[in-house]
Amino acid sequence: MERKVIIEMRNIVKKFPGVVAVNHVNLKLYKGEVLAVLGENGAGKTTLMNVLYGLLQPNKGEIYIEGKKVIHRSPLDAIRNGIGMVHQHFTLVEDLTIAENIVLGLREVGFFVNLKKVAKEIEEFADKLGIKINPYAKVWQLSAGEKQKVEILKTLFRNPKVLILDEPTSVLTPQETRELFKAVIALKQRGLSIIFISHKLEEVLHIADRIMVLRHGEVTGELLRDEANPRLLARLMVGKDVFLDIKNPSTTPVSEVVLEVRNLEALGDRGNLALKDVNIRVRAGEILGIAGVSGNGQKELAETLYGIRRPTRGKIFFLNQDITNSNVLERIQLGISYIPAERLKYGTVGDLPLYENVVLTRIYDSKIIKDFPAIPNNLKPIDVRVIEELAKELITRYSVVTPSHKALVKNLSGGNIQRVIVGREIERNPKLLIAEEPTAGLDIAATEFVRRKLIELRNKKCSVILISSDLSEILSISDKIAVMYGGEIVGVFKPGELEIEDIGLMMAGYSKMNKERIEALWA
Amino acid sequence: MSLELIQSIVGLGLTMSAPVAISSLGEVFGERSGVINLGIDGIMLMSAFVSFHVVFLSGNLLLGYAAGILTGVVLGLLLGLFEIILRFNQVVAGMGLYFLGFGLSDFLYRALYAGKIIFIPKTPTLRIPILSEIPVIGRALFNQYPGVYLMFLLTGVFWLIIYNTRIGLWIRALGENPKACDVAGINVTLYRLASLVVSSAMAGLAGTILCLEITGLFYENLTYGMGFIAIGLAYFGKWDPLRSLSGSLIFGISWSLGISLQDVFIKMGRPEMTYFMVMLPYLAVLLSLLVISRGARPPASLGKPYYRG
Amino acid sequence: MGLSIVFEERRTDLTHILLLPLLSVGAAFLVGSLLMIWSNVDPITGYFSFIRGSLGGYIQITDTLLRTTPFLLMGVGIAFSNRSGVLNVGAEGQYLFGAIATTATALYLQGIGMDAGITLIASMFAGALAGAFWAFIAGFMRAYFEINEIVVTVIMNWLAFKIMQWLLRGPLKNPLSEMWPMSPPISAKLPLMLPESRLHVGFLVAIFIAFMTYYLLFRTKLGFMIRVLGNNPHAAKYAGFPVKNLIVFSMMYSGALAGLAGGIEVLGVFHFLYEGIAVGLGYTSIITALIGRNHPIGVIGSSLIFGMIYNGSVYLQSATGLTYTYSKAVEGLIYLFFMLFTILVLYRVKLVVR
Repeated sequence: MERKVIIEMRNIVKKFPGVVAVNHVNLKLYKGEVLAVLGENGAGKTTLMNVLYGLLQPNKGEIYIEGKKVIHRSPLDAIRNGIGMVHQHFTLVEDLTIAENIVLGLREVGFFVNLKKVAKEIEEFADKLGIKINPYAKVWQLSAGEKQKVEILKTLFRNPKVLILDEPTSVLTPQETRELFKAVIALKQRGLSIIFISHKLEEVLHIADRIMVLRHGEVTGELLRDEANPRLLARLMVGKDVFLDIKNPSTTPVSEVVLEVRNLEALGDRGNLALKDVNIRVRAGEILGIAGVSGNGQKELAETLYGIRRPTRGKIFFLNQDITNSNVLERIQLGISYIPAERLKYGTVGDLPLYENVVLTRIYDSKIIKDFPAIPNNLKPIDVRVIEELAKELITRYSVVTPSHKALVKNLSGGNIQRVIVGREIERNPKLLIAEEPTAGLDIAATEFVRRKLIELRNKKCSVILISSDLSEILSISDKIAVMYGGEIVGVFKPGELEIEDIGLMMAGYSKMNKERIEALWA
Repeated sequence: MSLELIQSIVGLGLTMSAPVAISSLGEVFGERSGVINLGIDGIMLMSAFVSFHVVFLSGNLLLGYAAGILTGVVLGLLLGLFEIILRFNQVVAGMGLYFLGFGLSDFLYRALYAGKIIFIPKTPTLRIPILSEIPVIGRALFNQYPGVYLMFLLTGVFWLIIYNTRIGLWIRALGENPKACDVAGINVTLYRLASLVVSSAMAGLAGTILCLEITGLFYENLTYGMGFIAIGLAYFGKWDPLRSLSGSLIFGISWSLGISLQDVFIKMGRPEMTYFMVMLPYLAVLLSLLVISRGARPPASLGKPYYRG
Repeated sequence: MGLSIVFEERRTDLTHILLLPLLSVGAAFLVGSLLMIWSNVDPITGYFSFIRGSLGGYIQITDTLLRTTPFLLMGVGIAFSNRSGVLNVGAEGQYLFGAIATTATALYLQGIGMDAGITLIASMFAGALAGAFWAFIAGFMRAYFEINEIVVTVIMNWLAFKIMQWLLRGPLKNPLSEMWPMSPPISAKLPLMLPESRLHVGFLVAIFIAFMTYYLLFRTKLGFMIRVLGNNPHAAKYAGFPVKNLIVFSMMYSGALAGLAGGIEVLGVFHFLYEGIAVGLGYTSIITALIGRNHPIGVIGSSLIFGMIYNGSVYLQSATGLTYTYSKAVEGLIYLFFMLFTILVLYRVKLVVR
């Protein structure tokens, strides 16, 4: 049976300064199928889709929709040609309501917007898809899963022929992921053609009719689902047979308590209660994994422990010392390190050279300052030779790829910036390291490197709090795991004690261990 | 205080509020879309000069208003070239426009008029037939310059546009998350440019009102920093047209209060005290900012140029 | 046809950075010559008198350096606060407040018969302190109340000017001058540097402070914290720097230099206080800092340019009748061209048509 080709991309090339992100890629999408585009971070999947959606202009290549050549200069052209895209990072305006966000993309509404009427239409439309929403809710009040639903609703409301889903499960719990898959299959049956972007093998094998694998911007394989198996896909994706699998020789430390958190509460950026009665106990030489869908208080927890955010209630003890009211600098000097999730925003100063970034969290150190007895501490000169040495050492030890230690940090790649941050925080010999999403967006080599470093640090009797929305990462290297939902710790367990399904239920807020049990598990 | 005095204080206060309120309204609109316009004072000066010159040459007041607004549009496009198309630092670019407007208006005035003080026919007040007969408020409110009526009218229009229309929704969304607008098919560059031009046109109108309705002549730096006050009032108003109007009214009324108190000190034989009275509106704005703007949350992408990808 | 603009950052070296201000000044003068033609002045005569006036001889050159002094001090101060991410538009007011405090202190000390040397040092110190105080208000409101410092400093400029007007008609009034409000004369004068010239030691003080500020910014822990704060305030918070105090400090440092500039102008040039000392030098210094790329050593260069422009325009006026506002217009043009050339020199800008 000859199936109808709905989209064809021919010979697409997209170059960025220094890299060829997409290199002569051909893509065919048939009507009513789910095509999965599989690849590592940085393989060019999103770039390819952005070209299709008109967000990027290709350097070479053509796009055909139902056999007709089209040029997508902007998303508006793509939308008019029936393409809808749900982006990996939410593209919702947090301050607006759900209805307003959906109206934003509509051209049919008149100059004066009758929000009530549109809101009713949206509600009815959502009902048909089996989604319950309140169109007047502000987006910032929603959970990640709900935001994802709004994104999909927003796209489907314009009635597209093709739906692109870019890493749609990265913020979902296992249950929500399953719901999404059901919805995708239902949409397929209604005749929609779907491109599903992912780096997760199981998902792709589960949902796709056809799979296309990208590596370094080139197509390394195109196969039907029945022809595929995990080993084959992994090889096509990574280019070698190895597969990420760090064995964690788990120890049961009966050692001193490094961090004790009691009844901690803190507000989020919008004044909402982001942390509710959080209790935590971390011992020396232990990795505590904090699992949960992002946006459930993990960021606020990390910031409160580090001292950037003030708690509204509760106490924090570090090595039996009350540090609740200590500022960041005092905590840094006590031996607390923090690898922030937003590494460009918090972790580095892009316009300063690498060697100065290496001492960002180290200015208290008398080693880097030349001693002139008569001058006040802040006005003493920094010993540039010493910090250049520190930087060179870090570059070799953490295999940072950079032209020199004087290069501006903004010119390094994301993986190398993370190596600088991780190196800087570990080389300070902390007693507690808070690592928030330390491997997000890194390629497999860098991911493995970072995880090994965390384990090494743990083996040197440092405590590590690993906050990650990647459940498999948490399960593979933690000694103890806590699940966060809605600003609360809803469960504590050791790896292997619970099934994935049970963890998923806790991440989604459906189940919760009782307080006494959690308290007992902390001991 | 006599009724007469209160009437005149309110009346003059409203007149003085108009230029600040209108330029502040423009700033609110521009900043809602994520673009800072720090050049307002420069635009006001330039428009004041151009409208002065046009009225001097043609004697046609309407032509003067049109020329003033057009000056705002042209300078807004120039600023847009730097801020939105070339994506230069918006604070630095806005200050540049301020310096240009400040320097050029003064230069042109001295070159063309040899620095002489020349009066042009001022725009007359418009008396609204029945309403102006209302006791107490009638004369202050309804026997006013066109700028005052425009101030109220435009505040309403902008409020309506920002909160109730599709363009307003786009503008609000642009200031919070331009990426979301881009993927929804809204041309970020075009609409940010448009809102910056609107904001500059409003500054142009404000400068024109200042020159044609209030001073009736041009001289160096005749805005006394009103453009910057307007920017402050956008913060004070938390980017809401009605709130920023209330800030402008505080400014205008304390201005006219200061002027009437001047007379009191002059009668007391302490003329040097008048210099304190002129500070009154500025102190009022400073205090209002201190009391009200604490924790005001600007549009999330204010001042940040948009890059795709 | 879609038209898009693509920026590619260029590798820049010192030549690019030196080229920028020269190009901008050149282009501004080019447009300035159009303004001259339009005002019926022959540009060749105009610029000839301009150059002669600023560089044409010993007196002219030392006068240019004399005029450079306030731009240098205020420009370095503004550059310093710019590095921490706050824009001090208030140098004008801080300069006036410094001039007021210097005058008041000097007059007081002179009244009690104090030695001239001590009077000079104490009154300059008072000027710097007053400028720092005036800037402190804006810095504090920015750091602790998150109120835009540009708005506050513009208001503070206005207030300083009005306070000066009041003082010159009240407490600091010279009873002998009825027509022109001014303060009584100050007898202590800054020592002159060179024979047969008006150039005083204030110029050396300014140069010294520029180098000192360079050291502060690029060699010390404090400077490191300021530069981190200016480049990425989030990172400064993450690293545990005292962000609020750094903002207040950098504003006060900036204000102290502006206040000192006001004091030095009073003690070295005018020897009394009058309204005419406020001619927008503080605003011009913002441009000076920008052209000097917020680098204290760069500001030495850029303030020399503005010293030349101001000194040259005096001669321009006597030769052609173009008033000093010509230099104001040229200033605005320099600023605009500098922005334009910054983009053109630092980036490869391509128009892509598809």
